Amino acid sequence: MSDKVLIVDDEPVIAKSLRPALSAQGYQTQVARTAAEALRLARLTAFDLVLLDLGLPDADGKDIIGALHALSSCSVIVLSARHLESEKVAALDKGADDYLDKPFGIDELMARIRVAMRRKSAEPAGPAVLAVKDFRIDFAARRVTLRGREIKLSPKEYALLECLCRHAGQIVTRRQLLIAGWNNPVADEQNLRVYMTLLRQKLEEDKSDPRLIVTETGVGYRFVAED
Amino acid sequence: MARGRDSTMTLAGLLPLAERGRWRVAGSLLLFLGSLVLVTALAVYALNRAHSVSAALLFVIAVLVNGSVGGLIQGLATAVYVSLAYNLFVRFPVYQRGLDAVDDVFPVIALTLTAVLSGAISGQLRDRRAAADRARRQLRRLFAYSNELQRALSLDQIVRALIEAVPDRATFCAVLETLRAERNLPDPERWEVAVCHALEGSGRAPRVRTNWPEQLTPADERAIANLTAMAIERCALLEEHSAAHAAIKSERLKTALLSSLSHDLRTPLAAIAATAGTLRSYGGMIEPGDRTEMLETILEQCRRLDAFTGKLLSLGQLEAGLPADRFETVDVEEVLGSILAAQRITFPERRITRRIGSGAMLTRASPVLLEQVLANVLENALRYSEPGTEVRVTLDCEGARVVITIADQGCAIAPADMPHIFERFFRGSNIGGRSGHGLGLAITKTFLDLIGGEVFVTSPVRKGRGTLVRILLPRLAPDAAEEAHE
Repeated sequence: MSDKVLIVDDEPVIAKSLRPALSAQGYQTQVARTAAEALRLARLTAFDLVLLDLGLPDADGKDIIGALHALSSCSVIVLSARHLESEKVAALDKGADDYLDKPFGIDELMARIRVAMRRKSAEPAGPAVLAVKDFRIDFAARRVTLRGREIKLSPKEYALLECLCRHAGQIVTRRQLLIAGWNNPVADEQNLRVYMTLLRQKLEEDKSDPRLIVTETGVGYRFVAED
Repeated sequence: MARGRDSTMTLAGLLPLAERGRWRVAGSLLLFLGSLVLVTALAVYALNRAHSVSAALLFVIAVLVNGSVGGLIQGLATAVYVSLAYNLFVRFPVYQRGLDAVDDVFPVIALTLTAVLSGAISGQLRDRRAAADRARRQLRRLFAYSNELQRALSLDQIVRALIEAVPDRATFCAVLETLRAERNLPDPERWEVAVCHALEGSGRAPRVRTNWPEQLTPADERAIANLTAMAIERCALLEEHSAAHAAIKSERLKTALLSSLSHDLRTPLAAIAATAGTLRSYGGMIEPGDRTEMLETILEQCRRLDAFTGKLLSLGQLEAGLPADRFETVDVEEVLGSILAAQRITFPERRITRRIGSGAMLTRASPVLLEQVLANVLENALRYSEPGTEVRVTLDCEGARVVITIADQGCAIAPADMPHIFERFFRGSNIGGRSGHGLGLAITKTFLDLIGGEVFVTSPVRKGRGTLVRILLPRLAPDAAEEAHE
């Protein structure tokens, strides 16, 4: 059975321009133009993914993320023209799985959708191992190898890396990382930066051109998911 | 208004005061004379019955009553009279034999002492009452001043209230001195300016007032200074608050502008990018018919972007002010005709009726912008009304004006939206999912302001439905048009 995608955008042209690519990839699509319509459709159909615009006529898209999650165990990717870091952080903290600025490349969107779908199908336990390029992390054994060589990590470094790898391909906000590493969402972000630098020193060949851990300016970090 | 009430209040307090004084003098005199006559008569009667002690006591009572009611002078006068009467009737009695020397002198002393004591006590009481009255009046004045200050919203109003609250310039200056010396005013320089302004500019400098019965005490002055200082502080806070409020409002407007701009620019861009990307990456998997449709989407969104940037640019141009030499003589009928023809192609199923008056309908304007403005309004009428309804367009002249009305039967503009319809990027709350930029009416208004025209919007027109836009353009008489051409 093909995966079902709900496009929520008040501009019909956005749905119109997304549909062909989604259909070509075998997704079934439905469109809602308001928050109320989105929730009504989500009650009727169990969607696998929702592409959500934030500027809806009857509500802020951020405010229905929780309700959408509650109705079906769907992933939510926010597509917005607002380009504000605070908006991104707020949407991700409210439970969005990913965020793309308009205008976006269709290939980028498709890649993000694939990641979200993979993550969804792998839930709830999650994969035991993640391997990207020459990097490999074994969650059960808490073992990290790079080009076949084991990397020694402090417990805090490992906690941060695990959080990033569990969400591979997705943005992880600084808040999420602070919770993972310090169990405190308002801990000092300076410490987080220090640990991220240490992690990159151990994992990246060229820190100015990271291959594994990408910075999402103003929002957080993303562990790349695909080769 | 408040000042008028204050002066009548003081006047009403003053007149009875004088009245009361006169009545009091008359009453005292009446009491004095009456009591003397009564006491003399009673004493004579008592002596006739050989009750000399009772007669003496009657005299004491007369002194006591006059002293305590009429005061020291009246008491002493009574004492003098009763001493004489005592000597006349008791010391040399017609009916009795003589008394010794102690009985001669002591009653005189006792009566005088009684008069002095009772007079002093009553005087003291009266002084206290007067002081209490005075304090009450001052308090009432302070209360009135504080009420006046409550209403004052600016420094100027505070100064004016203060001028009304003090009897003369010296007191005014004394209060100012106390203010400067004892209170930390939030903005002393502006306060000084307000004072100078009030003293010199308004010609209402404080002067001695006849309705001020007494001067203010230093305590009163301090109280007035304190009240004034509090009012000044309150004023400063009020100003701060409204400044903060304005800043928040302008910040909100900026955010709204930005989000509207980003939405209007990025939505078509996103559609173009996504469609073009799909054609590149998945082109092989898409039917040729769908591919053509996708290319249409791209072109349509390009047109939309172009229209939006065009609107933004013309608004910018208008706001910078078009040079008048770019204006031409324009036949409004001709412009309207070409717009109607174009809209009939865009909305072939819609019924547009028109009524054109007779006579030359010429104006001076930029023909391109005039066409854009009229097209905007007509397009709004068509887009925001239901397909089956009629849109009516009229063109006529009224004196020195060319008048165009465009009326639809669609849903009316929400009353709450009416004040904002000419604002840039403002879009009505009941427009549903119709796309638009919220620039049309803003451009219309700016353009008409520039060429000396006007625009009026009536909504709803009838039975809660319909919107009527009335555009007035300055009319150019045909011969003037020829001159302008030459």
